[in-house]
Amino acid sequence: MFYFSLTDWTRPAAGGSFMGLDNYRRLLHDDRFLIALRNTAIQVAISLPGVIIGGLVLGYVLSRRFRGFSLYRSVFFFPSVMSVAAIAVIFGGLFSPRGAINTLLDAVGLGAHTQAWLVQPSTALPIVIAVDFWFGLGFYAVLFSAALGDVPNELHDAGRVDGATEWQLLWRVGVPYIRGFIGVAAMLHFLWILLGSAQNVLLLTEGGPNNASLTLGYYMYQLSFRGSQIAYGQTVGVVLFVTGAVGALVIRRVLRRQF
Amino acid sequence: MADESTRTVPGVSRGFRFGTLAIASLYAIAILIPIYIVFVSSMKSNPEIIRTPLSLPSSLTLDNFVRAEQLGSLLRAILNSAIVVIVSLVAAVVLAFPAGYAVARVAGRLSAIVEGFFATGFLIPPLAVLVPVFLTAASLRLLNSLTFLMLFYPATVLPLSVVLLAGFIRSIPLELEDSARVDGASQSHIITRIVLPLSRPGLIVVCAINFITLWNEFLFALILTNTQSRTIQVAVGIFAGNLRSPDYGLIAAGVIMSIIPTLTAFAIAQRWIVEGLSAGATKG
Repeated sequence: MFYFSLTDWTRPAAGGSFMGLDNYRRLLHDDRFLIALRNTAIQVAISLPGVIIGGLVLGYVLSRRFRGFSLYRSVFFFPSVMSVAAIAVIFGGLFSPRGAINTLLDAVGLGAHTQAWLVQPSTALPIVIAVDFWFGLGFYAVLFSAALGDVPNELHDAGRVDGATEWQLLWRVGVPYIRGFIGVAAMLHFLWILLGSAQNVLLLTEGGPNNASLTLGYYMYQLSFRGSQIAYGQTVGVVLFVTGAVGALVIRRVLRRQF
Repeated sequence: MADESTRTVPGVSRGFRFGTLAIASLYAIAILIPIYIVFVSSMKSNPEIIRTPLSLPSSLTLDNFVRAEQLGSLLRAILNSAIVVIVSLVAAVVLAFPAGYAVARVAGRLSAIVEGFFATGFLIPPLAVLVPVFLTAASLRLLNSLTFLMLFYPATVLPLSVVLLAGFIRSIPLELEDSARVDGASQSHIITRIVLPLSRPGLIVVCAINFITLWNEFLFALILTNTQSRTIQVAVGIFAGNLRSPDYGLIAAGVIMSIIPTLTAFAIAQRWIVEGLSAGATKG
């Protein structure tokens, strides 16, 4: 990947010659790259804390083992056994011009709000992010509930004796106890946002309309497989790799296992 | 293993219990409604879907499923997926079991390093290695054939398989192996006659997780196959591009057909899958 980014390789069969840092210079003047960078930053800023904190809350609810919790657990995990293709097709269908969302809006008298969600600049990226939440909340809730189940009961009891509310128990007892685990989950989700989510962009919006939902991961894919610019695509890939590594280090530092 | 019994929590306020249940229910509904719509849509006609997306089908028809097979040649894609996934599952287990045994039973630094290597392996996202893999396939002249997927898929699931199996084999008491050794059993005999049968639950979990992962794999299949060799996920993904003048019933039927196998695997092994993944994430 690093080597490719220093060449002018375009198509698979073409081969390439060495050209130093030209591709990196090109990045700085590439508007689409900057848009992708901004969109990815937005996605990270919303999806990473949102899904992890939401997953923690839902995971805590599950870990209380109320009546019927195992049914909830199955439902929560359900989207995670579905493929990205199936999920994307379902969301694409719901948000298509004649899809269920618009029909339902019409039915409840909000017909003025119907729109072509996926080709609307203001809604395309939010829908890509919504998919993160739809499957991610449940996936991490199930993982966190398993981890929170390992918190010794004595710690909870002690907290309760001291008069802590349920929410305080989660944030003061549970979260510190599974800190390292949260770090791993945050890292997994961070990598998903940077790289995995590109599949949803590809299937739902192809980065459109007018680059409104273009992310770094999808830009790399597009350059490599649609634009015949393998070397330049790999340059974007290097940026992604560095971002991922730096982000992972930051997450590690913030949520380090504390013994 | 988590305790499955219901644990009554004393002193929890009613308001809290009600509030949390409401949050959980809201999210559960948000998951179920889209799935419900797809399910009923697969048995409705297109005008009916557009008019009343939430209603039950007015007449029960499997028309969409028959057409899905004809139009999208979905059956062919399902067959491709089945072949690739089954070969990959077998290959992955055959490779992962000995590796897992070695990691679990050989003491020392090297074995710990190997396990750490595998434990980080499953954190590598597919998109990161997409282009190198594509170029490798091209240079081997294996583009558009199922052969490359069969060679490549086992490698992608190997890390998690080894970590999970190693964890499982560790839980088998060492005394069993020692006593067999005292009785004069050879090492290969011990592995095939004692460890392997006792690992069966672990092997089932690993196969179930790998099945779901590989059956659902989209990105590599998309760039490495063509119309003839495409897998079910690629065929379903193509629907997403046709949503502008959509035949919703047909699309829903295709989605349902692609989900059924993983749903079955999940239903069989759900408890172990959740625990296995949690254990895997804790190690990584």
